[in-house]
Amino acid sequence: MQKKTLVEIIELLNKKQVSSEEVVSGCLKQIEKNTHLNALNYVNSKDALNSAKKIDERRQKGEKLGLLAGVPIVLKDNICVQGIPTTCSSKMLQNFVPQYTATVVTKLLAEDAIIIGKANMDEFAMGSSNETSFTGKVLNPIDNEYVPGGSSGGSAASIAANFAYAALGSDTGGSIRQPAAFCGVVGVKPTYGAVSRYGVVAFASSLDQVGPITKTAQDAALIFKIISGKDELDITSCGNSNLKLNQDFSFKGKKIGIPKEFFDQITDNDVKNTMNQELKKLENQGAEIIELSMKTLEYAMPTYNVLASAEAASNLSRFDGIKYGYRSDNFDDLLSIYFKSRSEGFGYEVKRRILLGNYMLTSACFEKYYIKAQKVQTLIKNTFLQAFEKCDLIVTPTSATPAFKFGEKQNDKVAMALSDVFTVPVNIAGNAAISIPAGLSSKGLPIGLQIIAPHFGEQMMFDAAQAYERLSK
Amino acid sequence: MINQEELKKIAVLSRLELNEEELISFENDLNKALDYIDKLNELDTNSVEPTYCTPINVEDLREDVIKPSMDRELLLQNAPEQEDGAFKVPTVVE
Repeated sequence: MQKKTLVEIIELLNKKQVSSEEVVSGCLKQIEKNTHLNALNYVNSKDALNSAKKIDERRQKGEKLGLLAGVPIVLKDNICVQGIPTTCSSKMLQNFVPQYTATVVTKLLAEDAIIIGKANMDEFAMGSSNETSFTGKVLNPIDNEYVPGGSSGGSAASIAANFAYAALGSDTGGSIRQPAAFCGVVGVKPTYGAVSRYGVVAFASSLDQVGPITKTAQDAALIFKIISGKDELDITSCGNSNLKLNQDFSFKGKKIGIPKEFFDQITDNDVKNTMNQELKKLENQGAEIIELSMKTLEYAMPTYNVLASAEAASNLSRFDGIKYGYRSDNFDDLLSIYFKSRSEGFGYEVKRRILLGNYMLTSACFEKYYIKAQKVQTLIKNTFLQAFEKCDLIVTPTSATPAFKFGEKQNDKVAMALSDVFTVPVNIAGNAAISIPAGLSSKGLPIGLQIIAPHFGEQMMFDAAQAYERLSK
Repeated sequence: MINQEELKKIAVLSRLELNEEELISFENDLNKALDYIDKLNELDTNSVEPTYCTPINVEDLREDVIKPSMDRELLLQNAPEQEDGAFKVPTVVE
């Protein structure tokens, strides 16, 4: 039962072949057996079981239930639910219990989903390996010596370890897709604006998006349909929830673009071979593979470093030890509350990005770095717009390598960031993308394939992803 | 390139205290990052418009009507210190 997909478990629940209480208990047992993974910051066991019982009663009475009735879901620990701690895996928010609920969660709860836990993550979503978490690293369920990826490492590990049937993560530069690839599950970064961020702790507001992590693309499409749409509480949200599920799709005649310069840079043989083999499969289905020259993409990473750090520095200035969050005991005036609380409350990586961001936001550097990066952002956006005139979808590996070992890249931030080299450009351009398991490396580690779609091109993205998934079965 | 003096100034602006060890390591880290970011200068962007977030459709704005906001007690629930319905801080004006 634990290994069922979201769509399968919904069917079993609807046919009353299993009760929600049994489903939730099964997940709780799985969580208990795997505490060594450290994937969850909080387990909502009592509430989840109570909700499950209530839903079972309603189902027995024949009441109309939501699409996710009785299904346990994990949330990344930067997504607020009233009454459940939200820590962002930071000392700064260890005692924070939100007084309000994120719109994405309100939408899941409206479909009678059950929140079973809050997932560990890189501190304030800043990292690619889940090693910056104040609550400790998450182990990759596939092989415990390897990182689960980040920053939504706990969410991806939770799905790979069968703690729940879907999870939500957030993706600023690859934080949903890269851990999904490393853990062998599906992860989606929706188009910028497709999903509301109200109630999600902000990191880099011009890049952040919330999206699903699931076992299949079919599952991810269902969750996306539920959480997407315009929300008057997030001014940037402008999507709809018109996604059609389970459409017929054929690769015949579809033009699949591959960024040539990028592919040439892949040095990992397992990733290279997997990609060639999978592209061959698509070609056999009648897809036309088109080589694209997208040279500006190599500037996506430095652009990201500027925009994400500057916006993070600005967003994280709200943590002052006064309204909520950690306050140091060690102060004698107002100013020292700020200094002591922030210095004691934030970890090293968060401080590094605040310092870098504030440096680039100083009047002497603003033009040189921030405006420059926004200009390059325009070039990268244009590169994608031009590419999508020549093709329907773009395919890349999700990450240049499979998961790496703990500590391997911790001391080299630039090398660490290179694991996000294929995912970051998508955030910079605001497009939608999905990571799907594509195969295993010689060491048995998952390799993810990324499908990138135009702005609000989720329909074709999910249709193609599901068709690809069917090919692999 | 950023030097230790500049870094100290940025730390004050960021409301962060750095010890000697952190000063050295952040100086090193920030310079590595800036060095990498300098790659952007390879591109000529003189005639390029910057991207300013997503365009917001003004017609889509919600109606300007007052709605109840969060209850004061609820709002104060996460405050480290509170008194008489307000956030409490040390004396600022004598």
